[in-house]
Amino acid sequence: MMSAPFIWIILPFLVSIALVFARKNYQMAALIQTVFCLLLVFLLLVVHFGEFDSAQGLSINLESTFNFLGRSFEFNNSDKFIIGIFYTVLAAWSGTLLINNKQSKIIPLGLTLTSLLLAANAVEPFLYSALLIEVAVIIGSMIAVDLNTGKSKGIIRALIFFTLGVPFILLAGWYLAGGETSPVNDTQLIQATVLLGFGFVFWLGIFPFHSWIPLIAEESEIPDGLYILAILPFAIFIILLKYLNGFVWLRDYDLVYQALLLFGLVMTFTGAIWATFQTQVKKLIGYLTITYSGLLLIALGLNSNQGFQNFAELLLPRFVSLFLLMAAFLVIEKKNEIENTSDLESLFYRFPIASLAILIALFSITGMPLTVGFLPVQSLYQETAKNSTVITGLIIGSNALLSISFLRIFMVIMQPLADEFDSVSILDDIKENKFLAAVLVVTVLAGLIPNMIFPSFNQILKSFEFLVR
Amino acid sequence: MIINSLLIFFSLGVTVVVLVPRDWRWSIFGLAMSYLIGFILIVQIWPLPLAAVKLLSGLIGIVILSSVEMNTEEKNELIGSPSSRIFILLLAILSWLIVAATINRLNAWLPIEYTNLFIGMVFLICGLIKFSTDQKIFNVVVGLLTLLSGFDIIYSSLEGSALVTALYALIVISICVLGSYLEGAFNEGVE
Repeated sequence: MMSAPFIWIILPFLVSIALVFARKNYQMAALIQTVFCLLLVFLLLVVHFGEFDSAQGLSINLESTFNFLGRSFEFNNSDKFIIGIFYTVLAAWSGTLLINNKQSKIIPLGLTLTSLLLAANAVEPFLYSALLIEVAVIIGSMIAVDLNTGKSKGIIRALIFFTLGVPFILLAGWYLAGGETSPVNDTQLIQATVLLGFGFVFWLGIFPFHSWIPLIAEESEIPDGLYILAILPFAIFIILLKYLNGFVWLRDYDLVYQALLLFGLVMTFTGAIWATFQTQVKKLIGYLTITYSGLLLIALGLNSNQGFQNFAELLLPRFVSLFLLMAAFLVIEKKNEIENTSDLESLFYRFPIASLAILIALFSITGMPLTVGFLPVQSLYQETAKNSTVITGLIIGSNALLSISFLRIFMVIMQPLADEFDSVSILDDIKENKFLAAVLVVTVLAGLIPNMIFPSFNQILKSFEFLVR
Repeated sequence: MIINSLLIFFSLGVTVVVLVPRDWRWSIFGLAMSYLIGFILIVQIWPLPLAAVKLLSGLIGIVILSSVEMNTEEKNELIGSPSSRIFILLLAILSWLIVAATINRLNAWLPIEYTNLFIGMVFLICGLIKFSTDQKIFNVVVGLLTLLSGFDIIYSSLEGSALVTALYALIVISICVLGSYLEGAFNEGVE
C-alpha cells in the first residue's frame, strides 16, 4: 500500500528533479508545479492516514509511515492541515509566478524545499529534524541567490546561523531523549533548555542573530526572498511546537515559556523600530517578518490554550500579507523599479490594485480593524493583558510605530500625480490585475467575516495534543 | 594511548594549517586532514562502511570546492597582512588552551572518548575562527565544513545511525555545491 510520507515527501522530490529537465519550457514547468501542488492539497481532503475507518465511505486509506535507512517518516491525520499549508503556499507562489511569467528558482526547487521541510517534521525520532532543516536551508539559499544583485552576504549569514543552530538542537535532542519517558533533574533540564534555546535563537533569527533576514529580503528577488521568509520560519515554529509537545518535562517547564515571551518581545519591538526607520522597501518587508515572528513567539510564550489558538490564527495574516506584497510588487516591477519607499510616490494612480494590495498587506500586519490581521492581533492583546500590561503595551507600541510608518507610506502612495508622468493602463496587465483583485477580495472578506477561514487554522493545533490541553 | 596522543597533536597542527596560511590549497589540505582524523576516530566506534561514507563525502566536497577555486585562481589575491596571520595563530592557541582547560568538565557531561571530544572541540572552534575572521565565500565554507567535521566527531560518538550519516554526507556535499556556486558566480568581484 502507498504511504502518506511517500506521496507528500518523496513524490514531490522526484517531481522536482523531473521539472529541472522540463524547465526549458518554464511556463509548462510552472503550470505542472502549480497543478501538482493543488492536487496534493486536494488529495489531503479525500485520504485517511493509518487505520481504515469504515465509517468514512469515500476515504482512501494510506499507510502513515515510510521506512528509510532504518528510520521512519510518519504522518498522522492531525498533520494534514500543516501539510496542506506547505503545499497551498507553494501553489500560490508558483501560480503567481506562472501568471506573471516571472522566472524564479522556486520552480522547481520549491518542491524540494517543501518536501525537505515536511520530512523534517515527519522524521522519527524527530531529533534528526535538525539535519533535514540544514539541507532545506541550503536548498533555500539556492532559491534566494540572485546573481543580478551580485550579493550573497545574507545567504552566507543564514547558512552560518542555521549551521550553528544544528549542533545545539542535536545535542539538546540527545540530552532530552532520555527524559522522554523518565524524569530528568533540574540541572539537566536547565542545560537542555539552554541548548535548545540557543538552537532556536539561531534558527528563528532572534536578536542579535537576525541580520540574515533583512539581508536575504534585500539581496533576493521579491518572490524568492518572500517565499523563503514565509515558509522557513513556519517550519521552524512547527518543529519548536513538536519539541514542546514531545517532551513532557520541557513543556511543563515555566522558564521555556518565559524565554519565548522575552524573545518574542525583543523581536517584535526591535523589528518594529528598524522597520519604522527603513527606507528600502525589501529590507522593510524583512524587518516586518521579524516583528511578526515575534508576535508568534509571544503567543506561544503565553502557554495557554488561547495563546496557542492565537498562534494558529496569526499564521493566516502572515502568509496572506507576504503573498499580497509579493503579487503586488510582481505587477509593479514589470513597469517600475521599486527600491525605496520614495519610489512608491503616486503609485495608486498608476497601479491602483497593486497599491491597495500593498496597503492592505501592511495594515493587516499591524492588526488594523477590518483587515485580516485584526482578529488574531486583537485576541493577542487581550490574552497578553491578562498576564502583563507591560507586554501588551510593548506590542501595541510596536504596532503603533509600524502604523505611523505605514500611514507615511499611504501618504506617499496616494500623493497626487505630477504634471508629467508615464501613464500606465490597468488593461496592460489585465490577467495579473484580475488575479490580484480576486486575492484582494478574498483577503478583505476573510477580514470582514473572520469565521470564514480562521476556525480552520486551529486544526494546526491537533498535531500537538499534549501541548494544547 | 600513544596513537590518541599523536592524533591530538596532529589535530592541533591541522587547525594551524586551516587557519594561518593564506593560500587556499593549505586550507583544503587542512580540511582533508580533518576528515582523515575524523575517519580514524569514528572507525574505532562505527562499522567501516559508515565511517568511510563520512570520509568520502568530505573528500568529494573538497574536490567540488577545489575545482572552482582552481578556475578562479588568477583572480584571487592573497589578502591579509603577516600581523593578521599572527593574530589568528594566537587566537587558535587561545582556543586550544580554552579546550584543554574545560575538557574535563565537558567530558563529565558528554560521556564519550576523551580524544574524540578534545579533537572534536578543537576542530569546532577552529571552524568558528575561520568563518568569523574571513568574509571570502571559500573561507567561510571551509570554516563551516571544519566546524561540522568537529561536531560530527563528537556526535558520532553519541549517536550512530545510517540516516544521520546519509544526511551528514548530503549536508557536506550540498554546502560545497552552494559554496562553489556562489564562489563561481560572484568571482567577478562585484561584492
